[in-house]
Amino acid sequence: MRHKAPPSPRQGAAAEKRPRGHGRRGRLRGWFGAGTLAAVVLAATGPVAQQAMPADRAAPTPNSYGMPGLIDMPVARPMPDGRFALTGTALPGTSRVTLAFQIAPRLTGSFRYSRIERPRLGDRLFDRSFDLQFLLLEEGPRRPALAVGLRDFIGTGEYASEYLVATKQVSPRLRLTAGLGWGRLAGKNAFSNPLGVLDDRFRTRPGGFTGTGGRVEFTRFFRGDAALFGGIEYQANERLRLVAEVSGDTYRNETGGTDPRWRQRMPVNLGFSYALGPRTTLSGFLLHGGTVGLSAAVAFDPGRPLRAVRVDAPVPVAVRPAPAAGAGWSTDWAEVPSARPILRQALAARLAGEGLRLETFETGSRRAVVTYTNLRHETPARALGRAARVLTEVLPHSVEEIVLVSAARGMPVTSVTLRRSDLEALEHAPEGTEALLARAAIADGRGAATQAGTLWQPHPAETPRFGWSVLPYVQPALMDPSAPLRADVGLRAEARFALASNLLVSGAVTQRLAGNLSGTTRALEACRNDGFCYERVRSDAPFYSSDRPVLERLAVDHFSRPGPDLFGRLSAGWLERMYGGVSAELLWKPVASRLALGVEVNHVRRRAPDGFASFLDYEVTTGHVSAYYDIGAGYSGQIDVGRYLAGDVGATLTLSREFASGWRIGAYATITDMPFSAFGEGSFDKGITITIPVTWFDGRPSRARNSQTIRSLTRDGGARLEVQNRLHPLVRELQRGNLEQGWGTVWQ
Amino acid sequence: MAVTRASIAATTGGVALALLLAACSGGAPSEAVGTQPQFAGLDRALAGAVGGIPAAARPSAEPALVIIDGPGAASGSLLAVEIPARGASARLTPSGRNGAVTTWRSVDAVSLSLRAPGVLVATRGLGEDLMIADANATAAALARATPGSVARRHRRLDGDLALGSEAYACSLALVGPERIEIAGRLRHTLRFEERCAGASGENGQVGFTNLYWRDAARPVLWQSVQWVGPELGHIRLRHPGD
Repeated sequence: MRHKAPPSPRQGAAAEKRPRGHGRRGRLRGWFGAGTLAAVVLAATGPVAQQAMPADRAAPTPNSYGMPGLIDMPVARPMPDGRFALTGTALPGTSRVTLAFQIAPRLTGSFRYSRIERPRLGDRLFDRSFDLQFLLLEEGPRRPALAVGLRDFIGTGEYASEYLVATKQVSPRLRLTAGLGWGRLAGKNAFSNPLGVLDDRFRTRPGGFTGTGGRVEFTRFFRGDAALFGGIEYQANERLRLVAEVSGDTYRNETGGTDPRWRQRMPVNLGFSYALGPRTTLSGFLLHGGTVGLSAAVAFDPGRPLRAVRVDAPVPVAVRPAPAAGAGWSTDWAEVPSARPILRQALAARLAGEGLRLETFETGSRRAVVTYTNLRHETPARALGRAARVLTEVLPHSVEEIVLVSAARGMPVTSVTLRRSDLEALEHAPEGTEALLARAAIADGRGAATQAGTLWQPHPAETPRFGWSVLPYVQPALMDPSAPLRADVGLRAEARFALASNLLVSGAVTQRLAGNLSGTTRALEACRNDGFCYERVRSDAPFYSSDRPVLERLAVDHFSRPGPDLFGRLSAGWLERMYGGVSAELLWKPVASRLALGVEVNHVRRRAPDGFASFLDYEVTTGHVSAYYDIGAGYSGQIDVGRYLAGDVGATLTLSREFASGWRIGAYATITDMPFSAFGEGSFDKGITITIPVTWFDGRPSRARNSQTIRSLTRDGGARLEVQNRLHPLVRELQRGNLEQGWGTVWQ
Repeated sequence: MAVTRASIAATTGGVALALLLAACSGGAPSEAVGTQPQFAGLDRALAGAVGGIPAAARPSAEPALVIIDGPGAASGSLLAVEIPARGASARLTPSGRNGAVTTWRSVDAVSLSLRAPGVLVATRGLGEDLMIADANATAAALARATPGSVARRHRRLDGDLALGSEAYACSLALVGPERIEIAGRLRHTLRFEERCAGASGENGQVGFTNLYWRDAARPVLWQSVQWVGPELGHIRLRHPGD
């Protein structure tokens, strides 16, 4: 029925005769050379004056390639900073889905997945491509905006082209665009490359790609013949925009010369776009007078949630009567033995009502220290504000100093010391948010809680130790060369038991109900020229899909604070679907530091694909030394240097941008000593990760987020252990930078 | 209507986005669940339906304000609220007092904070909340029953969680005496109108008008219509008065 054993390599199957439309192997290609993105991001973070323009009217409409443009041609206009635009385009024999992202005010990037029928070559291609566009000059009263762009600039490059483009708004309704294109954009009416005057090498465009592909083909950029393109956009009314363009994109491979759907009758393309709403656009167009296409686009701005978060009103600050009134200000209560347990019980119940779990509670007559875990709120500031108000309700009047320690997995992370009289005075003050931050003392939580250094953090008696859930799951797969969408669906049962606040046993069992993951094409084995073949550390992933119950994970995790600014984790068990063993991590991260350093060492064995809990022979010690840096304005970087699962040694560079609303997008690249030729298609591992907060869509307060990685075909080089509960995200979220970023929610 | 359609379209887009991401994932099996904290899923409502999470720890569903019967519900210690934008009305009870500001709360966790004699300075639990308004001048002018120019400032959270600030120049005018019936009793009031104009912004100039019915003799409000923000518009209040 389904593959129980690894099938023969796909090359054999590819040689069979197949009906047209099933085609040959698709090409999966890679992304940025490590460091390229870093340089571009840093160069492009300069401010752009247009940012303040009303986003929806001023924003460009995506073209059929999903980038700001006309029909097939680009325009020199960025999207509003931080915007994600998802565009789907359907043409005869071709479809494209593009996710474009405004990486920085001047820099637009996109990832595209296309299905291209190429009658001329008699095949069908599932193709990935990446674009970048950089705004060189903003539009002025006289001068047009000027941008330079690279379309499909990595690897084999079906769409490979480069361009310079200028756009000018000539009247409120009319916009003109003109540009110079190379590569695919110079498909007709091309002339000898004007850059040829600089160097003769510009006159010819090299074909093909380097080695196993997946690299930036610098030597191809702006080479070969060039052609002019341009167009007119006319805003007929609020919603309707009409477009005409002269395009150099002739769809040479798609047309095949014989396909009547692609006959070229006209030298121009005509189209319209209609705004269905502030976020959605529908476009239709006629290419070359004979081909009809449709596209639909949706834009997402992380700073404009679909629904404003609607969170239950907090309890108000309970204001104490003036001390002169006398009542309740005595400190005698502190001598009563039963006082603290009663306070603790009341506090735990009220914090639970605010989505907070009370961990520890210590109080004297003037000062209280409360450690809590945030289970509900997206920002640590809102959790803090809620905890503080609950305390004003519960604590005796004499307690003036309130120390709130936020904890993660039983580790006290950050302490915020507030004066109760400040809370009373600032609750309804117009500048109360800023003033409270100015008066708060933020420090390492380890210093505040007396039990912080201990290895055993008792679990709070008020909350259950055991929790479980059964939820449906969808597990999507890498793009198989013969089927772009593969997935398993089923049920996942999770359970956890807290031996202590910082000692957790947790596990998950899945039962697949339907899916086709196990039919996924397996990548070629990674073998060096000298004959040495690496273990199939990840390329065998499809065989771990099963119709029987699967033990996804069963592990015990221990968390600790071994010293000031230090955080520790020890994990053991079946750590992930493919590996089990032990994992240890130590993180140094001062509460207000932009820099963090970490080290992780794992010793793991590969699990058997078909056994519930059994292991195979392959055993490896893998680990990394990591540096994390908060660049500011939401940008951050991370470098990991170490040994990967296949025993290869190298480094991973990750750059991310995170929005206050919780959206996060990152790009990474891993280079190891595994030769590019052994790695196979794509040369090295790279990809994009996107994290989307659930709250952004449904407006309900929650910490749930969805995260996906888009990477080149899963291979064995640069593969890492997928251990849960890595420390840096847990710790960073609660520390000063993130606390301040969301501080506006402290009184929410 | 357009907004609704757009948000449906956008939600559809979200699903499509998720599908795109799904289609492109090449992660190891354990990656597909996402990187949410290990037990966040457990605490989420769906899990709560089958799992052992205490009810108090679950966020409540969207608040549906309690509907009250007809007019005159404001009596004694209750504040009656009508929110036309949500087609909702509710009865609120006092839940806190901090100086001149009293916070009123509904059973489904919506709260309004009013500065004596009854000027709205904050809302919570509605969604597009007014985080805090500096309306001290309005409140003082109403208390003294002296018309004139008053300045206001409203602060609201944007989608990036930044606390913005909008200044308004307002003029408080005495429209005249008006007799209104509250809970079956006629009250002699002075009707005030507060016209506010904001600075010109992206969306043109924002303005609003608030109405207050102040007791003719004492510094208390009997009734008011006050502006929360562009999304929610005005709310109508029947103040307890006594």
